[in-house]
Amino acid sequence: MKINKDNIRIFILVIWLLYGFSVMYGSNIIKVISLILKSIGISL
Amino acid sequence: MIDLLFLILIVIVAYLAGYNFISLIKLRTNGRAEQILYSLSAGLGLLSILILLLGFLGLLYPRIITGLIIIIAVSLVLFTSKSTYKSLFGSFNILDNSPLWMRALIIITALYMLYQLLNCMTPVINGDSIAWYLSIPKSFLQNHSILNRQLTEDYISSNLPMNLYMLSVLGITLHSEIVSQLILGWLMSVLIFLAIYVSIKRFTDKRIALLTAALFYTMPTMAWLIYSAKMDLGYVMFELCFWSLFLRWLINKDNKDLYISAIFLGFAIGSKYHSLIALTCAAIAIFIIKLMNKDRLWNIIKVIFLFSIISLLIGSPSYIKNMFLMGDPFYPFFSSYGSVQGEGFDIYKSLLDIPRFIYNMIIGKEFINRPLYWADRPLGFLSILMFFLIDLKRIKENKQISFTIILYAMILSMAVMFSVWPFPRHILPAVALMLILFAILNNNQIITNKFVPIGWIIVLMLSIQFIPNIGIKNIGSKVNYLVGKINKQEYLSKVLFDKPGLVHMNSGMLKYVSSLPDSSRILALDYGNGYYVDRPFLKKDYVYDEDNIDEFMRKCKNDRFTHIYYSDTGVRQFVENPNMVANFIILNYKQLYLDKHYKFGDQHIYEIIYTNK
Repeated sequence: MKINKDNIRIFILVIWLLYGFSVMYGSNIIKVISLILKSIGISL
Repeated sequence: MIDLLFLILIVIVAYLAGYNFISLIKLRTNGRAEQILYSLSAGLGLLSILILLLGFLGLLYPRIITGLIIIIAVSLVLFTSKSTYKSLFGSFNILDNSPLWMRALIIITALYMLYQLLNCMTPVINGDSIAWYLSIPKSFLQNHSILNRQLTEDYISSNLPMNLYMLSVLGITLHSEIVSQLILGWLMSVLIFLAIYVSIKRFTDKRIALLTAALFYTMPTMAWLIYSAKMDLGYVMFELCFWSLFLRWLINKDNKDLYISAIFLGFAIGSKYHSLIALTCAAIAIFIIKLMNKDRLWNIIKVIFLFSIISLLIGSPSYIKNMFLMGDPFYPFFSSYGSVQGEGFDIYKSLLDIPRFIYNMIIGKEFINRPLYWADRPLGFLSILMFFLIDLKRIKENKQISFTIILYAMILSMAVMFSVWPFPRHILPAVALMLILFAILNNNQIITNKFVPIGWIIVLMLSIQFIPNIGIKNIGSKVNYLVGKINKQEYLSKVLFDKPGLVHMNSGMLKYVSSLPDSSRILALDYGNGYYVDRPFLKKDYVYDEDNIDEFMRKCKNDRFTHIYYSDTGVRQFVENPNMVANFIILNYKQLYLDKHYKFGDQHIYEIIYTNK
């Protein structure tokens, strides 16, 4: 794939989305996953 | 459901009044969205000023307000042509050429808007709203006037600009505080959505305009403001109406647009002091842009003068009221920072803190001071996604717009950053304008096929963001209330008054307070959420600050308090907060100065004994 400015922008956007999401909601999602695992008997 | 009917009535009256007004001042509108936005916004602004004038005349009686609204409604319906309504009803085809992910995002946002409507149809439980923003309109109605010296001392917030208080008065008068919440929360949020859409669609693709409006509407900061009767959204709405017309002026340089925009700025100035910053920035921008266009200096001064005079005149009634009662038109803007000062909120000290401030506003760190204040919610990482898709070449094509928006965003953000309340809700107009700028400068990649996978990731992330946004913890009680299984009293008892862990006055205590003499005035040692309390129920700083009992009693007597209230949970929250000094000196002298103890749950009320020392 040819690297151009637009692709770099999109790449940075994806990094930001993943970073922002994990910082804001990551811990909640881990809590939900651990609750689900706990309900089926797996304790983290 | 009846609250919704009253909202519809207000919308019809405001729309017709505003439509006639904008026709009178010959404001050109292009399309249905602009017509609805400017008509409704102007109508709401005019209604608020009309009720404010009744307040000046001491005529805030429910019958007078209701009668006036009915007269206005009937005359507007009779004298407005049918074409006014016809243009409103037509098919929507904005989404026809949109990628599927974008349609999904817009549909989810529309459902969220509907959810928030149902949310706002339940009784108000937002702390600030019941402590200040509904208690004060209730007091205006009880006094039948806005001119009341006791009220200015009881509530420092009663001296803030009044336009939105007056819309709250209208809601309470017509039916209940729920109507106020529907106007100040939900209706204002929808108009903000429209204002952002209208501002962007003049410059770029309508789909990008719609997407940006949706990203703003679904920010976590907006979520709790919509479900409240707070003032923030109303002022943002008026200000965005102003900015959308100001941006139009930047393109066509037709001074008529500028002067009409000043009317909307006037409504905003009459709603919150922060809009004076918008006036300052707009004046600077007009001066510099006209100077660069080589206009004559005298002409520039004339234009700025006229623009400022129009906005200040429209916003002036609140300032005249303050001048009359307090001797200071801007009270308490420049004279008091309130009790939050020194509690750990003023954390940004130098310009080097700017990146940290921006990061905290977006992600939501460092502005929560639990358990005392919830403070605010973040803008969210999704709101700024258009920033990454800016086409730098487009800055050159939109130099004046970029300059104006960046100037305003910098000045407002700095003012808020160095204040004691550096929270996202106080920079909302700047955030909205920055999102508008990002959209205008967008490289349109977002609507190409290449973006589809990322688009779906955004939809997924937005859907997860909705979970905390919609606040599911009281959802069962909300459904039961909306379908009529429980009444308002039962609902409030379940979710607010008697819910374990909450600090609102409980049902038993509320009943006892209702039996106290009418002249009773209660001083709250912890929280003073007074809207649902039948007697004046107030907070005073000296409860925490004063450590001399004689001085404390003198101040209590001076404020004519007859009772003292506190809850064990509430007092504990204050005492255990490391950022606060809470003396509660009176609790060390209970036997000497307090009598007739009444207790319900962990809440206490005492009558104060004043000795003749």
